[in-house]
Amino acid sequence: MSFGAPYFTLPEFTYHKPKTLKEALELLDTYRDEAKVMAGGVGLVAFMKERLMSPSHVIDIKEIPELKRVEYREGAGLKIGAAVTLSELENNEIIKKKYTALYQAIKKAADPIIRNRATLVGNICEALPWVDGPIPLIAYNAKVEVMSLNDVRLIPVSDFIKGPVEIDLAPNEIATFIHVPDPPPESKSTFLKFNTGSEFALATMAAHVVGSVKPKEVYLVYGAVSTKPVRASEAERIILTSENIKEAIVEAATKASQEIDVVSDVLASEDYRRHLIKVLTINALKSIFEVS
Amino acid sequence: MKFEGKVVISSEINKVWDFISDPEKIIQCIPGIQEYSVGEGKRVTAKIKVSIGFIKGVFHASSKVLEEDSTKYTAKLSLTGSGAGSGFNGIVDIKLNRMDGSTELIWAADVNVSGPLGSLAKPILEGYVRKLVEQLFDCVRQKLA
Amino acid sequence: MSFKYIGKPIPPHDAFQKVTGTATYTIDLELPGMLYAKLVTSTVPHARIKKIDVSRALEVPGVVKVVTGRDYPYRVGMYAGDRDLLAVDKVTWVGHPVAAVIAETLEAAEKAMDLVDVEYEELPAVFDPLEALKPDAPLIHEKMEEYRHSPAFKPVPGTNIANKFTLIKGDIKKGFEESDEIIEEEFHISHVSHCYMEVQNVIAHYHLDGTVEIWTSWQNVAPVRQIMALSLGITHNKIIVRIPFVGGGFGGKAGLGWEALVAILSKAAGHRPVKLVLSRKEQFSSAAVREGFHAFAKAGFKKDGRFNAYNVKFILDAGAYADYTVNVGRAVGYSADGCYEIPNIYVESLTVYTNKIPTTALRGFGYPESHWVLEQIMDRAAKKLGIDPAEIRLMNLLKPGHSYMGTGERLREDAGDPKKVLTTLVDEIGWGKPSEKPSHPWKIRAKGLALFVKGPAQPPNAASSAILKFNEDASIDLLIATGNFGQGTITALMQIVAEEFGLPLEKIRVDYVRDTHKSAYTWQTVGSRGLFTDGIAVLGAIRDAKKQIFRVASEVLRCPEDQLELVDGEVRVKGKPWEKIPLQDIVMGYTYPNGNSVGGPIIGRGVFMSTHTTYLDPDTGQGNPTIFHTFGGTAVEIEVNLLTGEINILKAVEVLDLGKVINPLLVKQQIHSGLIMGTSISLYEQIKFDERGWVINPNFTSYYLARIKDIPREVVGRFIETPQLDGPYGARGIGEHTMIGVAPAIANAIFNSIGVKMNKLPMNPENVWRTIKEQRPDLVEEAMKKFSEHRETVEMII
Repeated sequence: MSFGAPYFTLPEFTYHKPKTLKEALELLDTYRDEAKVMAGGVGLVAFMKERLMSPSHVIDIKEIPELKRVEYREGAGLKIGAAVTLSELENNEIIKKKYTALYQAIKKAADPIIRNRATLVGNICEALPWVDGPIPLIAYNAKVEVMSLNDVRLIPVSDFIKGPVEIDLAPNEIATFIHVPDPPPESKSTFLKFNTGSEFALATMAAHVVGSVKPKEVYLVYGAVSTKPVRASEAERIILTSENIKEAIVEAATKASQEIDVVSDVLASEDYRRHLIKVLTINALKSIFEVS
Repeated sequence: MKFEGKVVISSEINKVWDFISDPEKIIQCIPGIQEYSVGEGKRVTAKIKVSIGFIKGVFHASSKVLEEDSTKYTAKLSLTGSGAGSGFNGIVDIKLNRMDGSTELIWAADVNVSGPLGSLAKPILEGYVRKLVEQLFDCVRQKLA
Repeated sequence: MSFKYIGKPIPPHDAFQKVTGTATYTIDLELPGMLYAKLVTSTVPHARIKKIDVSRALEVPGVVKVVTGRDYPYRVGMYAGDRDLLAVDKVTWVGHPVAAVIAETLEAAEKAMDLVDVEYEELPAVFDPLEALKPDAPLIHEKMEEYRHSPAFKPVPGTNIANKFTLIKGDIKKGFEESDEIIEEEFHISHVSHCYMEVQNVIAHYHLDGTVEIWTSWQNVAPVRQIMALSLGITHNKIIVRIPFVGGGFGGKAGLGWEALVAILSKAAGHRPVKLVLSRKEQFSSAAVREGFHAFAKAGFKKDGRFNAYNVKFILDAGAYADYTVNVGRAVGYSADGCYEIPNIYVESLTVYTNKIPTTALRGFGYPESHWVLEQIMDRAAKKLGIDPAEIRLMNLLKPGHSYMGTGERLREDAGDPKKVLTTLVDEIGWGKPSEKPSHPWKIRAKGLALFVKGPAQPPNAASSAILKFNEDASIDLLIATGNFGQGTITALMQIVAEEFGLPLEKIRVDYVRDTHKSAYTWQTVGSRGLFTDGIAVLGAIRDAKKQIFRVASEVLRCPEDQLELVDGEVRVKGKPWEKIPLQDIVMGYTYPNGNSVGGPIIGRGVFMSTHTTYLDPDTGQGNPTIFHTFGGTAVEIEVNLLTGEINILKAVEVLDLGKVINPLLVKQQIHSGLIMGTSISLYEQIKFDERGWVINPNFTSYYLARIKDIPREVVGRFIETPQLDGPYGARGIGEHTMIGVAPAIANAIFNSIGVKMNKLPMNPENVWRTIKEQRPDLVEEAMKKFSEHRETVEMII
């Protein structure tokens, strides 16, 4: 990722590599605003090169054992540590089987080389409009666990990302885990991404439906079209309250393309994005409800 | 992007005019100022730390007085600057109106952010610049209260 | 005739070094005592420089010097002479280098570059060339008359026109009166970047004795030295330019780059070596890119399909400097009529300054631009007249030996076989045979084609030379200056030498460094001229060496020279092969058994000069501009997603009449690479500007380059060999041609199938979707309907 920086060098910083979570939190508590936590560093190093961030201390968490683990427990769900790479998640059988939308999003993120390095927690923390990670996570009601020396908080991903480049994370806190609840038995989900002719997605979407004959819960989450992830709540309601799903799909898709706040930027215009939203929604809902 | 506003300052008009026409004074009200110098013709160059979310970049900015009329209490400033591979420029118009024991300060700004950040992050930056200008004039009001 | 090396698929001679990472590029080089330079660039599009305060920058530890334009107000350039080294009185685009910081470390230089304070007084700026042509437009180059421009170009002082080229043939007014169908349309192309892997970078060392040593990532050494000598007033042989391996050029590293500036920086920094490396962002916003343009075309056809009149106005958006672009503008002009014989032509090509990034040549040199217009006009006419697009082209094709081109040049007999190109193209793509059903009902499949012809755009006196010398073991050093930035021409030239002397290829060497002092002169490696011009020079050197060898051998073997032949590295008497001398015994002089010696080291020399090309008439463009014409064609079969605007190239066919294929492997690579680059530029690439003239996507994240998933699925290349009688083994050049027809072929496929006119590049998904929506909203609605009603389970189509 780059914008307009003519620099080859990074600003000066001191590099720390704590071996325990406590050590990391102590360092962060000491340096606060002057420090930044680094997992893969994909976002951090890019921002530093652009001089959009110049931390004088970089705290690398890749050696902390509990942060490198992915755990799944029936009933509790998935617990993904901050230092787990996207490649590791891509090879995880539970994710592939039970969390379809998350699996698809990870598989399509960037390219294999970046996936070997980037982490899912880091992806959320970037809070850039075009990152894919938050989209399926919001559709699964995932939460971020945020720790400081004296406190632990659990925040829904949709609240954690407050706006573009703005997250609910204090200077002495580390985002340590993502908790994704066990999907209910009749869950079906999918993730779609449109990025033809663009490095960044022009529109992404995660759809998660519980009950594919008579839906009980519907989540339609969109990314890359606005300044942060958005849900099409009215479109969701159309699906929830419809008598005939097949007929409701186009209506819901049209509604989604109209109700969401969509931006125009250097990558695409608003009207094209709205059109893509409609196309993606129809595609996602069809594949979930397996209309034939 | 164009925006405007007004604040009421509980000070007499000439006191307000003296404040805003003195670069050394008004510069105290710019959030994030790291260093500055005032040159001839009230030209100010400054290094400003811009904080948006977790982004903290440094911008180099300069301002110049284009017009100044102390009898009519109007002024026009130009701003330019660059940082993080992008640039900005704008014009700010200020007018003071005499009120009973206080002064009404009306301002209008026309600011553009250009370059890669300007386009990619337009909605973010517009919100930020608007907030910055509002903060500035609010600070003026407070300092003269 | 059977050859050992000519016509064989020999891998490029330097592939091993490149693949194993041992190849040395300028960017790898470091010299002792070297300093680092960084540029301070303008943040306003058009302004007077009032003051530059470098005091805070000088305070950064490690900073040696900060140089500004007023210290060194030189003007440089090859064709238009309009460039300054650093801005002197005013800046003319956002990104214009205003000062240079020189420091002991890159960190210090990068810290200091932000501390140079420039005070500007803004001037009105103009960003659209159509606006720049208006009489009240701000002038970007007020001192145009003072520039040293080549006589081949016509700047118009007092305006923003860097070059005005006119091509007049026949009577355009009468031509339209005689026509039955008139087609009038506007076309547009965006700016694109060369995107070579190795950014522009230079090391310069201005010695105390006045000698200047340069290492640069550039295409050729000669133009750098020439322009530096003329502009800086240094004697030619005191300028030494060296070029090692180069990570890509694509025409963007032709003429003069940053060498003169960095040389001056070295002098200013106390005669220490200085290195300047452009960041990718600076590559996109401070270094020259390929121009955009508007074109207004009007064509007249007879109802039987004959192309009777063609009037086109090209307006090139050349940015703040147009030094190379003036020649591109000229080439756009005289290539406007492409492969067709059109009796009445009026072309006007204006190269116009704007307050945006400067421009230069890119692979294709104006031909992709002119053919974007011409080849679509052909299909418009075909549809209007109810004639097949291949038929209408056949009807109007130039006939070698008979036809006259727009420049008045009579197309020579051995120029190639355009008819065979067309019929082969049509055959390979299955023209007329309907495509298979598209993968989904909201997609369509279509075929389109485009023809092209190109020769090098070089001055009539652009010469080449070659020096060939033997070593004791009869291995050969070929001392040529042919640029080597990915084409593999060097390999082909080595094949020629090996073939002619009957030596194994491993015995022929071309050093990887080009050096003004050690490489024989060649004007430049551009315009696909390398194999042709340098090949002729090499053949001359071979002939010269052979003559010297035979003179000695004839004395030793006591036999007339015309009775001798070279076979397998030995000189033999014809008919008496046992009378022979191995080359090793002659190439350093022959020594008799008693010690008497004759001859001496064999050094062959050869030259190329074009004897029949001319300047073009300044008012009518008439003359003979080019040394050969390579005819070719591109045909594509595409699938268009009417729902999203995505274009997928299923099959691409390239047919070229190359005269003689010296190395089919290299030609195949040229076809692939040209198709990929052409696809990328046609479908995705676009430099975007905002209202203040900033480049807003100066990086590879928001400027999209085609990836492996975006390139044509199936590629077919077919070569025709109609020999060019004065070419090396009958060969013509190919470097750029494979790019020219891609964009119009794709656009024609869309027009032929759904009648939608794609007049703007790039044809990215949003642009395609929007254009189809504007011209055929019914198609987009129907696509959405089909998609919504699609009966099968829809697997992820996106």
